[in-house]
Amino acid sequence: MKCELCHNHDAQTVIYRREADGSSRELYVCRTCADAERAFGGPRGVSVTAMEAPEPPPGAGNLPQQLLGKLESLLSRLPEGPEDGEGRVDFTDGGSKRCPSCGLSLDDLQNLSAVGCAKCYAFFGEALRTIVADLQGCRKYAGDPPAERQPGDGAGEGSREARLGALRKALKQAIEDEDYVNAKRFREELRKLEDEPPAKPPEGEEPHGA
Amino acid sequence: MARDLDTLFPPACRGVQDIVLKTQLSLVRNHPEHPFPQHMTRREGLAFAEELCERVKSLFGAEDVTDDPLTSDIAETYFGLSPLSRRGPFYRLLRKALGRGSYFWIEVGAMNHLTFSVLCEHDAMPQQAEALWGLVSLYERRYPFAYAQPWGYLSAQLSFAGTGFRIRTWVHVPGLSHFDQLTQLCNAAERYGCLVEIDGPEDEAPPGNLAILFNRSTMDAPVAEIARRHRRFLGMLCDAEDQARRRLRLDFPFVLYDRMKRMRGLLRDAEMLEPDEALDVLSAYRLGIATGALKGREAKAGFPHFWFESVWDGPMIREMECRMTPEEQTMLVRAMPPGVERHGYQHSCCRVQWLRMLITVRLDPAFVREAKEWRG
Ligand SMILES: [Zn+2]
Ligand SMILES: [Zn+2]
Repeated sequence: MKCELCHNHDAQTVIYRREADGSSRELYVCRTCADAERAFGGPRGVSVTAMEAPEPPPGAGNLPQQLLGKLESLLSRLPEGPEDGEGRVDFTDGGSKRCPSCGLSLDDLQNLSAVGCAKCYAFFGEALRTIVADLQGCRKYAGDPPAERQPGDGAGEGSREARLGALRKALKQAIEDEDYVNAKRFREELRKLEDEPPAKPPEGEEPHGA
Repeated sequence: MARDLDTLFPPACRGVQDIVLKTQLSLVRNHPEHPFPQHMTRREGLAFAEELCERVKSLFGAEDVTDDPLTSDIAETYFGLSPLSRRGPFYRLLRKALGRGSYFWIEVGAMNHLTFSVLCEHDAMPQQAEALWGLVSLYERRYPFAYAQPWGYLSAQLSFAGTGFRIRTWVHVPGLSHFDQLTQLCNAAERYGCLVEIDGPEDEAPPGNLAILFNRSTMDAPVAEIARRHRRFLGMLCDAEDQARRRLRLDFPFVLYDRMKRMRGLLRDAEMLEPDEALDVLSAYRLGIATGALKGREAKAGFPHFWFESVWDGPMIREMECRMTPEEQTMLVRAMPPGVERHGYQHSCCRVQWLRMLITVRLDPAFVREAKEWRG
């Protein structure tokens, strides 16, 4: 299908153009035209809502509403069986399964628009991932890694060997997931750790809390 | 109430230009072993908040200002901290002075276990974002936070999962608002990974033509990069707003003239002003100054009336107490009919008195001539 605006390129995305009478018109357009329509300072009186996947409709200032919407649609298309992976829940009984740690259900999450505890993340797994991807337009953390634990402080210190093992595992997983940003980071960390003398106090690595 | 005004108006609050009012950086963090604040029992919450306060005090030398009414009254308005409605039963507010009237704020038990924030210089967003991250890392080295792949740092709100970082800039956009370009602004912001928060119905100008710009994803990049993107879009926003103001001033002088006259009319004749109306008055005033339609010594930054924050009840009363002698305050109260206080309108009346001084600025004669000869 050709772009409905330039009639030249192939249509790649959908935009919703709000007409002067308040009605909304769906247009299949190429990326260039979509960008032009959405660009700042476009023709006055025409508002354009970009709807291309995976971005959600603009929910400026209205995140809780958007979140509720996502949850509703999520609950209406629950997967058939249990999710694979440890600690995941199957959603065949709707949103009533509860986090074993804090007791929160997906229904509660819907009402409070807040997560109950750190363990909820592992427990609700894919469901939360979907919401986060919609809210943030991103599925994987690409920020800086946690700070290294200070020697002798805090709990959960692993041995250097354990940390090396965890890093290798994380690296392998990241490569499998094609998550190159984190893969690069893990590789660098690994290299740094391997270069250090073994006497160096260990850092915390195990994911805390989930 | 002889408190140093610099503690009320840190320099970082005063935007470097008229469009950007202030930028706040914040990081939310939680500990793995406790539920998030909304899911804690009162007992658990109080004990845990106590523990967190002790850690923050000893690590950062922060002071607990939860029970200081002056600070907690104005903290939301001036520093963008959690609104009073979000502060649970074990909420604590701590701060550490960073010099030159700016603070490192630590909130305990708002939506998350810990919320760290600072106000940020306009030119140093990425650097200050990294500095904030570094400060919080000091804490993390001793007490690990809830963190797991693929999320990053785990937070009570899913929109904060990841770095837990939020950069928010309060902007004054009367130009874009006048030309109905706020919807385009929102759409454009989204393309650059930003969202815009605007008060009120979508098709109306927000009170005071104010908007808040913030990052949509807190997960997809390190904080310095998020801050860089934010600043890049903010630069575009400022350019667009500047253009809109020029257009209003040069192509529609009579329209601007009307705005100024209305603003002056309200300042002269109103007996009461609600916060939203006061914001609109201030917006017109600042637009007049910025476009050269108004002239006067009060146009100088630092004049307290100039700042949007000062029209909210708590800060306004504090301001008036700081700025007025007890005799002046008594005179002000005596000037109101007794029914005002009885029916709870005293803040609306005070607001008019507080803003009325702005009327001493004059319309620029050259601008008035242009407006009256407008051919369009
Ligand atoms: Zn096209
Ligand atoms: Zn939970």
